[in-house]
Amino acid sequence: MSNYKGSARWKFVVLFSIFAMIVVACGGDAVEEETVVEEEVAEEAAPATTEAEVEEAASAPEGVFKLGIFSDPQSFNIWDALDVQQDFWTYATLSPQATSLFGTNYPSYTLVTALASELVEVSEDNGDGTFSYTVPLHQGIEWSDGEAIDANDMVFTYQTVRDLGMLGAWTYNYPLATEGEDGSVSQGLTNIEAIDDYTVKVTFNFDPGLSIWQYGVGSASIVAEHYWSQFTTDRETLLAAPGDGAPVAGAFEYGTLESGAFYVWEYDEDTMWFGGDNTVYANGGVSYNLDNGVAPKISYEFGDLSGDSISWTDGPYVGTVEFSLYGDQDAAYLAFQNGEVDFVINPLGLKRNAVESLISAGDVEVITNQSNGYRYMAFNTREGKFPTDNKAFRQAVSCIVDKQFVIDSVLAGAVLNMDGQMPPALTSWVAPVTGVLADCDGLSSEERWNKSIGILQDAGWQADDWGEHPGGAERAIAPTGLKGPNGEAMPSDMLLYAPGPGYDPIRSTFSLFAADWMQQLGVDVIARPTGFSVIVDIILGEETCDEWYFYMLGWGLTPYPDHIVDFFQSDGDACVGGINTPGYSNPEYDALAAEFNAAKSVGEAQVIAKKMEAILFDDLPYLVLFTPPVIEAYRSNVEFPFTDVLDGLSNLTALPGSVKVND
Amino acid sequence: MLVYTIKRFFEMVIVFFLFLVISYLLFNAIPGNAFSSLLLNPLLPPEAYQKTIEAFGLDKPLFERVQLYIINFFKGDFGYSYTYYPRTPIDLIAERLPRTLMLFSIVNVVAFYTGFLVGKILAWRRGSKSETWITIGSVFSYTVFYPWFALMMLWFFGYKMDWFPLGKFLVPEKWYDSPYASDEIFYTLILFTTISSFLLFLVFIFTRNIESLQKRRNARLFGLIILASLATMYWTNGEAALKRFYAADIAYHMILPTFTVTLVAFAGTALLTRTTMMEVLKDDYILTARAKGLSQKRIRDRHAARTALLPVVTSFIFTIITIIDGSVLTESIFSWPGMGQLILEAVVQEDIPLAMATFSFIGILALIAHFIADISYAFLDPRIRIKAEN
Repeated sequence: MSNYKGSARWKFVVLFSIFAMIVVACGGDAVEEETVVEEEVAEEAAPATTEAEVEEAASAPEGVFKLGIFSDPQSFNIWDALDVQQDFWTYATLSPQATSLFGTNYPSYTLVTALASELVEVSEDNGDGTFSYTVPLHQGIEWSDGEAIDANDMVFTYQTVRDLGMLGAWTYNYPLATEGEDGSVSQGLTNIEAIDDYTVKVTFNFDPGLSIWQYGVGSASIVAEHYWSQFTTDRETLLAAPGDGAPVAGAFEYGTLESGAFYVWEYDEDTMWFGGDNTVYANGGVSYNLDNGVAPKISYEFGDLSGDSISWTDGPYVGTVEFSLYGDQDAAYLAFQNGEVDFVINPLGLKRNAVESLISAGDVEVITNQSNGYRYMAFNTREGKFPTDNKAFRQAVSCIVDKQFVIDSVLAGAVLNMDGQMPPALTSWVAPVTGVLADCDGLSSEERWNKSIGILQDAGWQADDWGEHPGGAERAIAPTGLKGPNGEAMPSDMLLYAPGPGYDPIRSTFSLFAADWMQQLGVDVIARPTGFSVIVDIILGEETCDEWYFYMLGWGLTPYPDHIVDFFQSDGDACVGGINTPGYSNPEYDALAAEFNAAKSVGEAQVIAKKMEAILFDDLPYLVLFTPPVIEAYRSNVEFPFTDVLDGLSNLTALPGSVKVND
Repeated sequence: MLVYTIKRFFEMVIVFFLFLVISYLLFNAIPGNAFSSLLLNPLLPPEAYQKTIEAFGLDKPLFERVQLYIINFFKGDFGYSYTYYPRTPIDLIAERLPRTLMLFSIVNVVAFYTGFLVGKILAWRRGSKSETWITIGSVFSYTVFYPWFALMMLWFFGYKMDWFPLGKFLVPEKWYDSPYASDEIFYTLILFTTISSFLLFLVFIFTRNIESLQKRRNARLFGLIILASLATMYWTNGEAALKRFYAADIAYHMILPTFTVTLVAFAGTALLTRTTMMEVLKDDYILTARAKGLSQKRIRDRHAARTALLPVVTSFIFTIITIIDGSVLTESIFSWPGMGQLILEAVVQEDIPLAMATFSFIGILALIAHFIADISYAFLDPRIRIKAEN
């Protein structure tokens, strides 16, 4: 019975399988026909191609440079990307939709010319309180669609920022002079005009220095007027405009953009942006020569051309740059291990524990660079905020905090010690360490404790009992009844706000040690793990900016290190809207900061910066702790022109214009 | 019944209103705001931050903002996303929803069906070795730490064995020259899956009254073959033929996440079905069925399992919400950019309009699901209705 019924079932199966096969066979033909039609169309189009184009196409680079990213870019429109978003991933995947008068060379971090044909560093005094820079531009440079890049593009960009009230990075790209409610006019940009198609005149209502001119307006984005002008009816329309069709000032244009999955840059076969010869010298000098037969000849030399050098010729050597999106870092590095991507863009670098597993996968190169930033402990130096307003107290704490001990013995060298405000890699900016940091360097814990107590005693501090250090690695017996020089009682239950171990285990560890060392000085302080946003809210909040004693956070820095002004100039106190979070105020320092802002050359600025650093080493509003290294990995078939660069390769989008991907 | 329904509806509206207000207040209670990072940019002049928060209305008092949000919400204006400005939350949800809908509808159906099947067998084979082992397995997958398990699955099947892709929903190279955006393919897949499921459902409905088990099976097989043939015809003709290549790529990427989530999610249904069915098997009508001489399989599938299905289906209705909100963990681990990731991103970046829109969307659907469940309960059990009306 069952056999019979089973047979009947199989008859059905066979019958309908045959039916299905017939259907599939018929359907399959239809698809093939359509494919053939498409191929024919392609073949018919081919004869229209000129010989020259064929030659050019043949020389176009091939190959794909695959990059892993783990956050979605928020826009492909440069106006939007530079507005309020300020998102790393948006910048990283943004096609080169803008150029600028000047630029920064990497890996040297030297200021060089870009669209400008000379580095104009001296302003003209117009005699009416305004100062102008007149900048000649290279002639013959074009956007990817063949339109000339000229002075009108810069004028258009400036006017759009001004008229549509652009925000975010546009506000410091084009720092407009604005009229306050009291009728006063702020220092800033008053006009940009085209003297002719290839000369631009930039006017300020004051005589600006490097940060406002060379690294400000001089390095500001300039976009294509002929494309973007159609969207400048209002800010919202401009921000919503499609960026994927915008002409670029580079060798790559947007290809396929698949939101949430991948984004592609494709080589523009008509580009003139290729083949520049670069030499970068150990002392920061840069030599560049462009003579590719398509673009105008450009040649320049900047800085000290002595010492060892590295040279390379710009590509592109790949036809496609693919940004592939992964859900998180782990997924991205697993894909890297599997060979799906050549490099993972990661501004913070690899976690140390992930390095070993990547290396074990084979065909992987690991590089370590210093980050352009630092982590620090801040003291609230505002007057009346005892004890942190007391210089001797800050010095004593800075002496007893043995950074090198924590780095070597606890963190196993995971980070690099840093004392000053300038990243050690910017050698010509770095000031010699002076003051207590120099005096206490290399001392044992006992010597540090004795030194710190000595600093307090010398400054007139009092204690019921100064305690003692038993020697060796033992904890000191802390002073009791510690009082300030004027008899001020030491507050109790002071907090050292620091990110928790989940957010940053290194700073969290540092905070525990720092609090313990302060306790050994008789200071009643405990480390309080606190959310990053909470700390930011406290230190920058109008009502809370003074309600703290110590906190630990970090800064990422810009190519031009003018943070030395912003972080400590008294005008920029966080309580009045700036980022001088310690409320540091020193007239001598402010005078130097003003000089720094007015400096016209990098050399001049470096000399002033070193004087400012010397003051900071004495006053110590920040105790700079360390700089985390940026560890990155790339597949062995990838060849970068250089890998030794401050802040790592991720912050340069892994150099797609000059990377080589070998088979 | 009508009174009960109206009453429940008004309760639902009040709950939704409270949900909106409380959610908005909670999002605003997070320290900082979406633009706090501007404060930490040393290059930015201090007034730039102020201008920014003014532009987005964040300078207004909280009460005024809540009021404005609620009014605008009911006008259908969800504002702009802070992070994706000037895109609207609806625009972003429309982009992400098909991806989540596709993956999690299949995951839910597969997990539910597998769970129900396993639970049924477990109850039926009570006391056997297989029951012990399957129960242990189910409890393991029900309690396993999901992120670890998913990563292990990805590592083993994706990296070590290289059988499946390491996350994402496509292979970029295959899509470089695609004439279609992935969402178009997702819509096609959703349409195809919905129609196929509906037709499959019809096949099972129309064949359920065939008394002979063998005939019923043959009829269903016939139906399945017809459906397979229709599916083949669909994918080999017209525009679908061109989309087939891309659809296959997406389908291939769905296998591992579907398998992984199913392994974890089926256990809940299996254990619930087992418990319910074991209770049902003690009922007198099962004894009657046995006394009538019905086959064991018939008693299990058509008498016991159907009754046991009721609470399981109820629990399934509530899990349907995951089809919409996806799963933050699954989407992150498998790099599947759907609603789960969008919600996470919105919350982390304090993009209040986007977070509110996604939460409201899920809230509405959750309330509707509960509403339907409540009405069904009242319909099925008069005691609930009478109690509520009194």
